[in-house]
Amino acid sequence: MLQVVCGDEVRSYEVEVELLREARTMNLHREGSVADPFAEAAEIPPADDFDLASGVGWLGPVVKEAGFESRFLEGAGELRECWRRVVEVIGYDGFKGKAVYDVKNGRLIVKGELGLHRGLRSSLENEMPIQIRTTFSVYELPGAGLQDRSGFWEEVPKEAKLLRELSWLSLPGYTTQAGSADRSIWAESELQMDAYDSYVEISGTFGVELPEGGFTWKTGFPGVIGMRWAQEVGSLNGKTTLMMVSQADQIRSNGELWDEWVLKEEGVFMHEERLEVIRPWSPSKVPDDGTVEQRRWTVPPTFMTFLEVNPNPPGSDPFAASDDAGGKIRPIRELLEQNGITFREGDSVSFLRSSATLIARLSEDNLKLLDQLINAKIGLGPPQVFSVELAEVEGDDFRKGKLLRKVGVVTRPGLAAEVTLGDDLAFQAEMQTDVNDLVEMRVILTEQKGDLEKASLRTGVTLRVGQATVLRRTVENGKHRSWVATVRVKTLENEVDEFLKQRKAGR
Amino acid sequence: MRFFVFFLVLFSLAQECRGREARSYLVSKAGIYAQPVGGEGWLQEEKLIDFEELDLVTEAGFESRFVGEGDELRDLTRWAREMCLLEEEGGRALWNETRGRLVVWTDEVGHREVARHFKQFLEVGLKFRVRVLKVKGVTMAGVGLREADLPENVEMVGEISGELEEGRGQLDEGQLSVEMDAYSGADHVIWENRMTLRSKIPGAKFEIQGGYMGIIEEPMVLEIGALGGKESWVAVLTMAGVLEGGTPLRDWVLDEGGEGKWWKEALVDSVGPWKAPVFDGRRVRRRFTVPPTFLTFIGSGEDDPFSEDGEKPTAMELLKSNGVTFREGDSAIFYEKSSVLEVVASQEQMFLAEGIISHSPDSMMGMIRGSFVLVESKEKLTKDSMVAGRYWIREKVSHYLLGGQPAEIRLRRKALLSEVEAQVDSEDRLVEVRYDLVSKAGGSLKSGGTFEVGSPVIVQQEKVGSKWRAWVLTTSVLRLRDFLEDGE
Repeated sequence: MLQVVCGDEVRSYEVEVELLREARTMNLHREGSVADPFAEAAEIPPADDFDLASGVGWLGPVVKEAGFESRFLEGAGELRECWRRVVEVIGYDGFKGKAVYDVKNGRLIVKGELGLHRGLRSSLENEMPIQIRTTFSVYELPGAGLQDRSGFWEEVPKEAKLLRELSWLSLPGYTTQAGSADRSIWAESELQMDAYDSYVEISGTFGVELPEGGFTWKTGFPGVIGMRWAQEVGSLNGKTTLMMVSQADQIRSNGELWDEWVLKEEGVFMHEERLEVIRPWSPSKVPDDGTVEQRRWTVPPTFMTFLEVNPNPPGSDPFAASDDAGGKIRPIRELLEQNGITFREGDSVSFLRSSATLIARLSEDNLKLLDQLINAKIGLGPPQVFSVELAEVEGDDFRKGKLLRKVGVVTRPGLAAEVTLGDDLAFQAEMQTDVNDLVEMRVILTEQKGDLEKASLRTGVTLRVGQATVLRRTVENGKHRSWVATVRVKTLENEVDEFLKQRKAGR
Repeated sequence: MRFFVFFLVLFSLAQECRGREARSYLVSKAGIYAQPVGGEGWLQEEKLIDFEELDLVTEAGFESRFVGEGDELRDLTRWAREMCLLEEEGGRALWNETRGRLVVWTDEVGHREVARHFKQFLEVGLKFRVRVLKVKGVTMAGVGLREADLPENVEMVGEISGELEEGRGQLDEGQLSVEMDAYSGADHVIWENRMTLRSKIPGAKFEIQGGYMGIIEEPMVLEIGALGGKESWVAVLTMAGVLEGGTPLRDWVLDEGGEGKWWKEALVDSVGPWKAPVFDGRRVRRRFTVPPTFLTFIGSGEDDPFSEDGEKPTAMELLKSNGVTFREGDSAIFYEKSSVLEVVASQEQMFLAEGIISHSPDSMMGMIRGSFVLVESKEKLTKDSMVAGRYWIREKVSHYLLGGQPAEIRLRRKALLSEVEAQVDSEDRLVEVRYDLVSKAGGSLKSGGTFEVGSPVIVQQEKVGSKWRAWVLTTSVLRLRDFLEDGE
């Protein structure tokens, strides 16, 4: 659970003067306070009045001291006072704070409250192009079995052997093709980011050639930005397991990691913050003593409009001019009450437009209700990783039998995912889910040259999530062989929560 | 006599104070046409001046090497005052029939206006010269645009030169071949082309295809790439302009001292840093070549095209309806045959008219360079290992790009193929690049991104055995003003 901590803190922003100017200009346009461009005698500012590299003429005067202490001031070069510019960039002058620009290191050092930092970061990030570096690695792990080996990898396990790796940079929404020189690893993919820059959705075809037999995946799956997700591809020999490890990192236009452009006194924090935002809020963690609890959500900037109940009643003219020329903005509390949220004495809610943050102090039940309301209004279900694994097991009881080979793929409901492993093995699976942990799945399996036309199993089944189920069983010369299917569904916010808990426990 | 000498010296000093000098222009008579009386409408074409009707003068009224004894001179001063806004007092323009050149005595502003008027009528032929060089070593930063910045250890391995006919040319000399479409820009200082250069030179086999921009007669260095990381291939491209009769373009204007003042002024005007316009109330004349239907586009749409009187609005009325103010004596004429809109107005109003006509002479004067370098390292490459130099270069390919125009490079048949397109933002801060790269040593990548100018960015990385190999893209913006001696 996130608590808003009050008090000033110092943060350092790696930002060029040009970007600050751009963000400030955009803010002026947004606020509508820019001078009338058609006004007579508009003055053309002389181009050489300021120097963008040093900020001379645009930032404030050189100061000997910043007026506050910070590790970011150690080794700083010429400092220019620039609080006024920071206020202009945020577009709100209600904050108090101090700001200097370290010309030599190109860093803006700001002291102020959390709301100021959130507003500043949000304004500047609006002007920063986003791109993603996707890394696709293939590891070999000793052992093979029916157990689940997928999940986040904070560190690569010591026993894992890196076989291939390929990474590439791309823009969201752009189809990218990448391949190694010997074509032993390649990908054709497209990715999309969610509105909060937390998740990515990757679609495409991925292939790996290995001396012992490679694999291809044609599928789509979500991921958490900055996190390494390992997924089992399968086993050709029943002794080792191939793992497909994917990671998507947000990258700045200068090639640096996005999560490092703002630093706190303690160091890097943005990745942690991203994970904390993803982490689910659990009512069970709230002490049941009737105390008022507070929670924060990052929502789309236009979130308030989603809360409007019947904004245009039948018969009203949707194009009619508003009574209020500026468009009436209704209080967030009123909007939430309309949506059934009850406020007790002492409860409160606020919406920070600059950072699109909603903060509410409510009873436990109402916090839960609000959480559901937000998810419903902005169409968010927590992203889930769906996977299908098919394993061939020898033995009377597949749970105790010997695993001969295994093949798996991640997918998403409604998508016909395809996977090939080695020269012969391939399957195609398409699933639909329901609310009762049941999955309806259509599957085609082949054991002949990966040709799905020559299926050794073509069926449709309903499976319970997480429960291994025999799809085909044969007896030859007294030996039992079974193809066992397991469908897993992992909710990424729960995985993040688990990951953070384990990390905390490890520390 | 003493008095005469004294007054002559005084006269000369006074002239120097006004900064006047004589310059000789090789002009086309097509530019010497009459200002239409009350002209604010539509004309078929310009009415040329009948030189026989011009006054013959025996004295130039100024000393100049461009006027010799016995030269037949015709007075164009009145015409030049009207058409080139020559100063009312002191300025003179003479047609030297004997030498076939226009001689103008005026100050710097007057000369700029005269040159501006006549250069629109120049018929410039273009010649090209391409030299292929091998330069020792391959660096991440690459070589500069100017030949003077090349290192000393270069080896010239091939050369090809030719002349373009009507801006087009194709030449194949075995080891080197060139296909080119080119034109000199409005100022005849800058050239722009679309070129395919193929080299079959042993050890330097490549093909480049793209659009380039440079300055007339200034050799421009284009780094092409490198295979193997030991030497880079470089092409040095020089484009020269010639006028009819073989006169070098630069000599169409000659100044008294032979210092090439026109060229230096035009160079700074064309490629120097943008300067805010200074409005001093002067009236200026500008000609804009526009699409034949241009005036329809800027019309308000309120006029009934089928009106019975059938009168179409004049160019001046259309500009007025778009907010341009005309004073008495100003004019706007549309010459239908050549589709030229000629406007005479104050500088402020001309600035506005230029905006309406979308005449943007200040578009980016330069190119975007996108260099892809294939590096190898014993460790996974990061920004830090790049800065620390813990890598070695295996291959490189450099694209010089005009915004939005695709370019292709092929090194040694199919060892490396790359197709790139880029755009730079208005601040020269970010470059958006789309690329398709296929290399035998470095794999393939078809992607795009937005890159900060000057920052090396790893766009692809792979593990090859125990080593790591990465493509690093560095973008830069090359301004033609870099050719100016002090950048100003």
